Amino acid sequence: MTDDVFFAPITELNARLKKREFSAVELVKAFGERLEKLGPKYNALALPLTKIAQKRAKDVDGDLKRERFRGPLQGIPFGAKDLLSFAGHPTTWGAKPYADQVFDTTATVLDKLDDTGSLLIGKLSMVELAGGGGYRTAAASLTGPGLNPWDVTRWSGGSSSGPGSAVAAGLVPFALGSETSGSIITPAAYCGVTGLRPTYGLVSRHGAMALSWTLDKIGPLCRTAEDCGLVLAAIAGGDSDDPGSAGKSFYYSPQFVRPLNELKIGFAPVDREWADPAIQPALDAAMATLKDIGMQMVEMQLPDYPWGALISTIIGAESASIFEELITSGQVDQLADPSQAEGLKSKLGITATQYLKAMRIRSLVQRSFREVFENIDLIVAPARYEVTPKIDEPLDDDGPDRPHPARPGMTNLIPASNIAGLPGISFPCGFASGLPVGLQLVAPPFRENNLLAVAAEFQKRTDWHKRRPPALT
Amino acid sequence: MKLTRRELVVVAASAAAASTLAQTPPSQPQGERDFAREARDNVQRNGELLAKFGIPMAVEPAFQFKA
Repeated sequence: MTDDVFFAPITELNARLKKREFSAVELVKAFGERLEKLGPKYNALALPLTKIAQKRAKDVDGDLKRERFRGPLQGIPFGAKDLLSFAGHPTTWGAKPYADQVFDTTATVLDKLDDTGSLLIGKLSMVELAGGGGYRTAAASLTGPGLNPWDVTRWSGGSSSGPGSAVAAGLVPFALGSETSGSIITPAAYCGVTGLRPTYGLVSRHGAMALSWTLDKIGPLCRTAEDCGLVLAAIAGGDSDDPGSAGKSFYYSPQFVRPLNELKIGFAPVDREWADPAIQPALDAAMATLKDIGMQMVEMQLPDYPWGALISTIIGAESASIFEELITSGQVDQLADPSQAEGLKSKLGITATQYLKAMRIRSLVQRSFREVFENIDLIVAPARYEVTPKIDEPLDDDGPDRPHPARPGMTNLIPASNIAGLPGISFPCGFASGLPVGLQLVAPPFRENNLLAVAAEFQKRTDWHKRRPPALT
Repeated sequence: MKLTRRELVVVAASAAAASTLAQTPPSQPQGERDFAREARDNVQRNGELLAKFGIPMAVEPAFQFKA
């Protein structure tokens, strides 16, 4: 198979399967071999599952032969972040203390994808425990630092590092990641792929590692916005096994979104000053494209809350409870990043009143965003304000000294939108020094179709999402 | 969770209490960063930031978290 296959969107692969240009078995074999050969070079592969997928692919080929079409994901290989359980196989959560952990159940999202005929060919690497303790090095992972296909001396982002690298490098057509606060948006931006964080409760978390019960979301990383819509439609839906489930379904129907020139999109002009000068031209061009689409640009500021303290307290209190045994047993010291281990220990010191205060403020945050979305339909901001750092660069390094603007703009959009449970998407909007730059959109709850429609229109007008990283041999 | 370098500076993680673990910090070779102390300080700072945030008594926590 050629690179055209490895970098093709889902719809194209499915069409070619139906035309019998290749079989599902052949497709799984080709992607599986590529994932097993190149995945370790990016530290992206946690567990190969190609042999199991090949057996399953024979059934899919039988269905295709009999024209039993089950939808656009039928016969499409994919990878899943290694925090999703797959019965009978190791699920390490990217962390040494859980290296031998095996569950006897499979995550709901993987069962749902199996029902569509898509084929799990590998578990993908991640930052240990999804970075819940706060990590300061890219190497905070059982599989080593996630390496970026655009420059392997740089980080793929976290905590869904493997899904970001694997999609960008054409090792899988799509992958499932998870986000508590930034873990889909960040690797999508750094790796130059399209990543969708669904509304809290839209996708079942059953079978996924819990980091924060009130913040965790599962979502896709793909080549295009359209692919994200197709995958989300397959994995969304109510689940009685997930106490946070909203009980809602999702139908990918961008055709029913209001005309894009009727949509108002909020932005903070000061974001340009916050951004690294190297990425400013890409951001300028991206904003110009949104204007060309006809979107009504509205200046705004994010509501003013202590975002960092809120997100750290909520994740900290919930993760300390979840990992209490790991922490008190001392096994937490087996984590690769000592700052993460110490971070988790310290979270045991968060008091009940502090957690409750954060959750009470969160009620106000939700109210504030409801007010924000009375006047606008979407918020736009840089997904990250700089390109990805070098893998040996401390992640708590404040970067080059530059004067910071007085107003924060949207610099807290990732924690803010996660605290409010809002959906978001990051898609490539340009390059700086050969590295991808991502643009982020955020919408009101359950308005994923708005995000996808705008991102898809952007991708009709640009080709950043079609660029391919340099080939590794 | 991923915090930017900028956010990590802003984010003071929170609060209180020297837990049992905090009472017996591991010895730290000179010149190396004391991650335990930094983490506890962050928890402390976050608690202080939240404490300063005024909130009406009637506001309940977002436990029934529906987006």
